[in-house]
Order: sequence, then C-alpha cells, then structure tokens
Amino acid sequence: MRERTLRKIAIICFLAGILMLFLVSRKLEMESEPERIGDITVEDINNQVRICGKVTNKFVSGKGHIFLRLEDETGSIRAAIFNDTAGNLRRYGINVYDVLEGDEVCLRGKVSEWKKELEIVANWVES
Amino acid sequence: MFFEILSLTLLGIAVGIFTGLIPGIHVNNVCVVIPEILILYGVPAHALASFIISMAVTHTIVDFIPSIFLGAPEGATALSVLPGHRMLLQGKGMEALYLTILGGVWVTITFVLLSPLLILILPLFYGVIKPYIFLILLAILLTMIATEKKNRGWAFLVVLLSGVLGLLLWDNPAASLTVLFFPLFTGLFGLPTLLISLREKSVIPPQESWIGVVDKNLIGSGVIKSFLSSLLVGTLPGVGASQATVMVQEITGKRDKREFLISVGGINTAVAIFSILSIYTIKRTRSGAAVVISRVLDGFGLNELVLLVSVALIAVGISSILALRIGRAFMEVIGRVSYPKISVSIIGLLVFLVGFITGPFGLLVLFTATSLGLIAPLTRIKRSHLMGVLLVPLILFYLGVVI
Repeated sequence: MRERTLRKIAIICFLAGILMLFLVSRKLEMESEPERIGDITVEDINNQVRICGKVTNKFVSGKGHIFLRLEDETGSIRAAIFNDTAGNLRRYGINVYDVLEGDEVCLRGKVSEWKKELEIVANWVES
Repeated sequence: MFFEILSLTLLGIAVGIFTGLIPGIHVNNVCVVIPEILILYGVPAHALASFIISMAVTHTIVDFIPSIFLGAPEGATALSVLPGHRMLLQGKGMEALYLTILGGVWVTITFVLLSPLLILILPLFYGVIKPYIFLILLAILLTMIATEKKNRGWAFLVVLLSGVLGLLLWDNPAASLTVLFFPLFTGLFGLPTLLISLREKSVIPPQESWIGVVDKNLIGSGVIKSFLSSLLVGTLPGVGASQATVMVQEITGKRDKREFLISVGGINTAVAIFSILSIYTIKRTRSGAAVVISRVLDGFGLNELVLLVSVALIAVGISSILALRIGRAFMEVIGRVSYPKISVSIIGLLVFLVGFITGPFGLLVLFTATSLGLIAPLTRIKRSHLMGVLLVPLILFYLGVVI
C-alpha cells in the first residue's frame, strides 16, 4: 500500500466519522429531554439527572447553602445547591442566589436521599 | 450538540498530539486533570467523553514518533524501539513510522466493521478465557526463555531480575506503576538504545522521505495479530498493550520487522478502542481513559458506543495524516544535526523529564532499569525478556500471590 492510498483511507475514516457523529448526536439530542420529576425514584439514587421546573420554595442557610423545591406537572422535588457549587457557578456568571420563587430553572445533579426524601444535589444550574 | 462534540474532539486531537510527542506524558495523567477543568466550564458529558477518546486514540498514533526517532518509548511502544531504531539507522525511520500508522488505521477500520460481531463475542470470550490467563502468560514467559538459543542462562537471569524490579514497583507506596512507567521503560529500552548507539558511534544516514509500497498480505497478517491480541487486552484486567506486544512478538517470532511494527502500531490503537467496547459489553473499564469516560457518562448504551467509535474514526483520520507530517519534520531536524549530539541531548532531556515528573525515586528507577536494560544488548539476547518486569508480577497477581 502506498502513502497516497493511506491518506485517502484516512480521509474516508474522517468523513465516515463525521457522518456517524452527525447522526448519533442528533439522536442523543432528541433523547436528552429533561427528566420528569415524577419519574425520579429511589432507583435513580447516585445517578446524574437533568430536571426543569418552577421554583416553589427557596431557603438559604446561614452557611450559604441554597435549598429549592422544584415542581413540574408530574411532581416536586427538593434540590440542594451547596455554597461551594454556588461559588463555582458564580465564576461562570450564574448567580443562584438571585433565583426567586416562581422562576423556571433547569439543573443537573446527582439524585440522593435526605431524611427519607429524594433530593437532587445540583452541580450545574441553568436559569 | 454536534458542533460541541466536534470541537471537543478536535481539542482532544490537539492535546493527544502534545501528549504523544512529549516523552513521559501519558494520557492517563491528562485524563485526571483536564476533564475536571472542562466539567467546571459546563462541558456536556458526551462532549467530554469524546475529548477523552480522541485524545487517547491520537496519542496512540503519535507516540511512535519519539519512540522511533528519539528512542524514547513508553510501555506500549517499548518493543518498537529496536526495530524502529534499526530502520532509522538504515535511513528508513519514516517507513518505520508509516508501518505503525498503517497498523493503527487498519485495526480501527477492522474494529468498526466487526463491532456488531464483537458485541456478541466479547462477553463469551471474557467468560471462557479469564480462568486461564495466568497459564497463557506463563507459557509466553517460558517460550521467551526457551526460544533464546545461545544465552538461555542470561535470558533467565534478565527475566528474573526484571521480574524482581517489577515486583518492587508493583503497588509501591512511593508512586503508582503507571507514573513509574516512564522511568521504567525509558531505562529498560530507551537509554540503553541511545547509549549503545553512542558507544558504536552510530551515524544516522540521510533519511528516505519516500516510503515504498507495503505488501497487502503483510498488512493483513500484522493487523489480524494485533486485533486478536487486543481482544485479550480489552477484556482482561492487568493485561496492557505492552504485554500484548510481547505476545505478538512471541507468536510471530518477529520474523519480519515490518510486520512487527504494523502489529505494534495496531495493538496500541486497538487497546484504546477496545476499552470503549468493554464498557458497553462487559461493563468493565480496561484503561485510564475508559475509567474517566464511565464516570463522566450517566449510562453507556449503543448511542454512546456509536458516538465514541465515530470520534475514534475522526481522530485516527486526522492524526494519521498529521503524524506523517510531524514525522517528516522530525526527520529533517535529525538529518541536520549530528547523531551523537542528538543522542546526548535526548539522554539529558529524558533524565531531566524523569527527575521533573517522578522525582528522586523515578531517577532511582531510571538508573536501575538502565543498568538492567543494558544487559540484553551486551549479552546479545532478545530485549523482550525485559518485559518480565510486567509479566512476572501479573502472573503472580493472577495466582493470588500479589494483590
């Protein structure tokens, strides 16, 4: 096999990869709708999820931890945003402390259990 | 999402070229740091996984450049130093690099074409072979010694001593074995090659830029061997690209150095790609990159497999063309400077990098490994015996003697 042939094969690999990537990324995009709050169960504990909903309750502790209750048409769930996460998010221009009751927000985080209730420990917030 | 993933794939290729070209920087080191930074920037999980796999695949294509042109290998490329360097001294360094790239490209294509079949076979293969792996490794080790015709005693001694060195470093509290791979393999294979070249006053002849036609049968047999060896690496814990390379060398008897270089190039890339398939089929992680990918992604389904395979294809396509260009640039620089000067500079650079990256303990490992690595060429036995450094601890690991 000549070097020129290898180059052609390399270009075909690249183009095939781009085509496959385009198709699969569209599929992934369609499947990455936010999870419905009512669908989150104890089986999801330790899994990463992305949820969107309306903030129905907000509480900021003395240490700066933020606790929200998020609600969509399927149910509601507690979400905790610890002060270090809130600090990190502020560096990227997201001030979680500004979130108000009634705001629509989306957040990503790990499902956990606290006082026998499911909650999301958020690591990213989209407001 | 498409452009996010594509951008991160291209970034991964750029970082992979850097890690591949600089001796001592392994993908696993970068895998620990960069994903953490990207997570902070809110990079989506799929784009992050794409970055990791494109970096890992590119690294496996490019890392033969320092191995062949500078004699500075890492575990997976260690055994390519000798045939690669020999071809460099014949003015065919570029051809040696081309052969390893051929192996990497063709093994990737074979993998993509056979992946539906592999999804079915891999779990069965894993179940059947797992109980017998130490017997396979032991057979390889004994074959290595037995096939040494003249100096069998020296061969045994080198296997024994390198095995002891491997055991001392296995699970050593001073540093992980992956970190110590750099001083270890630089000492066993890199520095002895450079020191012997200096002693023999080797001269690097003008390098041929033109690469001859490589026989299709040679490519076929090299790729098949590397593909089969990679099955072991991709499924079994503890077996890395370097052990698979020893297997290929023993199975083939290194009859043809060109075929051997194709196999080594193939194994290096195949291991990176097989580790993706292992996450999907047997739910096991078999490389540093695979560990990070499985942590980053919430789940690993068929979509993720197709995504990472397509990223691997893009990475192989771009990096193989770039590796040929970078190789030619290396060739021109090497052609202009006197080889003894290059050798001394590289020895100095390697010692500095080892000291900088791994500290005094790494320097001690480098010194010990270099002393051991010099025995093989001086007693004219095969250098693959030095791979006892990994094979002996691994056999004892599978026997339950070391944990």
